[in-house]
Amino acid sequence: MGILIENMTKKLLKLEFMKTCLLNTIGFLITFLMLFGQARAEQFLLQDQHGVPIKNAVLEFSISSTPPSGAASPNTLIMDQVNKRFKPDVLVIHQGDFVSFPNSDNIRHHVYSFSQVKPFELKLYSGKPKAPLQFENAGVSVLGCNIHDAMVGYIYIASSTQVLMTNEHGMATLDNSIKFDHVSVWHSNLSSALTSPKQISYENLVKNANNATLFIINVDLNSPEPPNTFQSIFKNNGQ
Amino acid sequence: MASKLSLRRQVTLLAVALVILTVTSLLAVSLWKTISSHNQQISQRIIGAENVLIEYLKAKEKLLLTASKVLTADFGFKQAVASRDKGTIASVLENHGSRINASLMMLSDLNGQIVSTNNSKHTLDSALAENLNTIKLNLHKTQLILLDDHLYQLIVLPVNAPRTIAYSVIGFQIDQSFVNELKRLMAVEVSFFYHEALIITTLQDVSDNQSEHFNKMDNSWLLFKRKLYENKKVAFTNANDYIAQLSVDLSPSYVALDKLVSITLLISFFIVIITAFASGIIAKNLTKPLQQLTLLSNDFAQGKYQHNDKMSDGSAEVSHVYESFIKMGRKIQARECKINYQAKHDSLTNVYNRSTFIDMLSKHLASHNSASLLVMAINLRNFKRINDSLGSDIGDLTLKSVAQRIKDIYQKEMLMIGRFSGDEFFLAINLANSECYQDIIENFLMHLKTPMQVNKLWLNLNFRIGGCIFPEQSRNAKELVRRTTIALDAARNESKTIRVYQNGEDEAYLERLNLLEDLRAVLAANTGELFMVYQPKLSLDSGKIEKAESLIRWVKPDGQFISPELFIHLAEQSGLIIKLTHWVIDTVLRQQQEWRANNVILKVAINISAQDITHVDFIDYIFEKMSTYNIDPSLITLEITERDIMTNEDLVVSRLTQLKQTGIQISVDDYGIGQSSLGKLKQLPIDELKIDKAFILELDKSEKDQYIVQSTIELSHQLGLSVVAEGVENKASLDRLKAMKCNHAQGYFISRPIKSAELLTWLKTYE
Repeated sequence: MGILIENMTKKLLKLEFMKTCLLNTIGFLITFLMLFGQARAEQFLLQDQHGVPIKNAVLEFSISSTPPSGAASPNTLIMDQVNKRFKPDVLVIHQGDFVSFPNSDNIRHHVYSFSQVKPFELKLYSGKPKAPLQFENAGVSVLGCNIHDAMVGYIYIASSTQVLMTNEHGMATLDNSIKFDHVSVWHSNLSSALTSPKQISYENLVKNANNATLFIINVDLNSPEPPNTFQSIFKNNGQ
Repeated sequence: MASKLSLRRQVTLLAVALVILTVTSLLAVSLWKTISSHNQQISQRIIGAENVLIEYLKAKEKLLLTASKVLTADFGFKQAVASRDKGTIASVLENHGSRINASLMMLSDLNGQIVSTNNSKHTLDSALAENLNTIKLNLHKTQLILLDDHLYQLIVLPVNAPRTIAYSVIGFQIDQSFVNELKRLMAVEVSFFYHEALIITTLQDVSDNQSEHFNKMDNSWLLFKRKLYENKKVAFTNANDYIAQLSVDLSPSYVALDKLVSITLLISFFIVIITAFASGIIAKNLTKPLQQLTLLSNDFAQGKYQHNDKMSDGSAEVSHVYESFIKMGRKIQARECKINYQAKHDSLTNVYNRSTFIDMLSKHLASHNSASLLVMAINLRNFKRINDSLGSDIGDLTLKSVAQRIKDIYQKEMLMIGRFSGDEFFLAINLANSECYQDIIENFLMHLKTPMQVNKLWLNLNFRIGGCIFPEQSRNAKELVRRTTIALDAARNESKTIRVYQNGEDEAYLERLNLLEDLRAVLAANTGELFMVYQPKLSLDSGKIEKAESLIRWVKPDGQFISPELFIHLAEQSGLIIKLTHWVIDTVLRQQQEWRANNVILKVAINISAQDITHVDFIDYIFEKMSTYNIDPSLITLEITERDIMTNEDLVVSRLTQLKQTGIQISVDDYGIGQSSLGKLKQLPIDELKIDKAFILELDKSEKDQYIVQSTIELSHQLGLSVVAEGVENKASLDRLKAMKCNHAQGYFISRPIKSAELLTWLKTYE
């Protein structure tokens, strides 16, 4: 699955390069390449209510046709802890995949999750890896560290084979060949409940007027939870 | 208005007003100061209380926050929450709640549904869920909230695992003990409001109108309403619906203030009373002497000048005024005496004046009724001549010496002496024997006449004395004086030096006065009582009647005939003669006009006196009448006696000359019996001499008279004068006069004086 993502990333990079070419050349080339691009992939742009691209959003496509490949063997993915942060912030896995929690920090972490999909807690010490955990159920697992309250991480366990995560430009690209009925959009700050993604049917997807291959999905996001600051309603003494 | 107030009242009013003013201003200032410092104190108390309140709530808040943070950070709790382990959750909530003695410990899920609470009442409360949803918007904030009619100070913290999975709610109920504790700390009343509705308060007796209660007014001062409470609303940031109100109950300070005011007023009242009393006493001390002074000046007004020199009591100033009053009284008295004396005495000789003399005499008569008195009027003869020749200074000295001499003569018997006019003294002396008054007067005169030295001059003075005896001749002072005057006048008229009043003279004198009044009235009324008669004059040359003398007659309505001599004399004395002569001229000239209408032309002689001829209007009047009646001047003859001509010779002569020049004839009446001067005769502007009847009446028998008349006629003819003889009573006399070539004759032999009508008839028969 990670390879897939790597491939996708490469493709995206190539696309970027081609876009640059498009910008540098004129006329025919533009039309051709765009037609060619359309034939190859469909692009999704996620924006929040302010029009800001959303990164680390997960798009899970429900596929009406039979999956192209059979039940793939479970992968083991890594949710590392680096500098008191989960890395990556959002890890997308498929149902049944394993997730390994190495500790790259030289301090202790006490990773836990109370999410329904997989409640667990791991006391991680640097250099003493624990066995990877298998996530059998689809859903979202919110990871925290009991020692460091500010650490939040997410593992998206997808039931579908086709699942994408937006890059830092809010973009995700799906192979054109894949047909889907609807798409589930999830993000950690989605205004609806944390574990329930937003379902959008194919028909309701809105295409960009200029670019037939670009779907723009608008999602309402909550502002990030405020830091744990305290504000008194009582006037300061002497004011 | 103010001037009508008595001094005493003014002083009292002033003092009381000043005290009231002082007290009022002091009271006002002290009240103002007290109230403002009190207000300052109250506001400082409130500021302090507000700080305490906030600090207290902050302390509570810190407590809540700490507890809440500890709770939400607890891994076991998070685990229990995540796994909805209600039993564990409840026990943890209770455990943490009891640590800070929190009254509210709740756990709510993300939708505001209560998961667990220490108060089972809240579990199913939908309103609470709503409230919690609003609370969620104010995470991490301590806030005030009303739950189930109870006010809480609470804090909501999310339970993060690591994302928010629930909310913990921890709070203190702001209950009675809470506010009481606040009150204890702040020392002011505190109340909490939600949407202006009272939730809880430390005040005991707040009834239905909760917010009204704090605005109640105290109206124990009728005019001014005072707030019962000083309120300060404390609002909270982001919690505007909730208000804590600090209230200071002002009534205790009002009680203190009222006490202060009432004590001040009471003291002021006593001070006012004392002031009124004291100023009353002072004013009395001030006004009592004034009243004394008023009495004093009233006494002065009534002429009482005898008083004590010093005032018995009173201040120095008042005593000073009193002494001035006394001094003034003395001076007034002295001046009054002097004025009195001057009013009563003759300033030159220092003897009584007329009125005082009469007064004193009457007083004396009243007190000494029986004793005989002799009153003398002494006239210094020819005093005018002394004055004219020796000067008025000598004249005055003479009068003084005479007065002194009069005083000296009968020193023992003398009662009083007075000077009535320039040269007339009056004297009253006691008379031992009323029979011998003649001797006394003569003796008195003898002493009086002795030569007198006046300023180195020896003067021989002559006197006339009139006398009157009390009580024989009069018992009345005024009458005595009058009768003495009459006696003196009689002495003058009779050319005597001593004349005593004779009984009846006064009555005649009074009668004459009455007669004069009657004459005045008759002249004014012209009723016919006065009329003219005419005595014809026979011309001896022609044997015809050419002239007549007009004579005035007065017959009263009762037929009484008044002697012309008498009333003409009276008229001359009183000055009425001018009017009388005017009347005569008018009547005679009118008569002549009538005669002329009857073809009778007679020259008429009119008697005039010296007063007439010297009067300024005389000539004008006679000319006016001549033109009125159109009478020729030659038909008018004016008869004037020699004596009258001599009275004011120069003026009379000039007037006569003037008259004569107009053609009026001038005749000298009664020629020969007075001071007839041949020397004068040649100077006088006359046409005619009228030989007095004294020479004519017995002309036929007296050779002497014949000589006189003969020579007078001849002399007159020599001087170019015509001669009239009056008093012809027989034919022999008439014949003699004819022989003497007298021009005209007049007398009873020819005709007595007759009225005009009679005259006309007589004239016809005579001719």
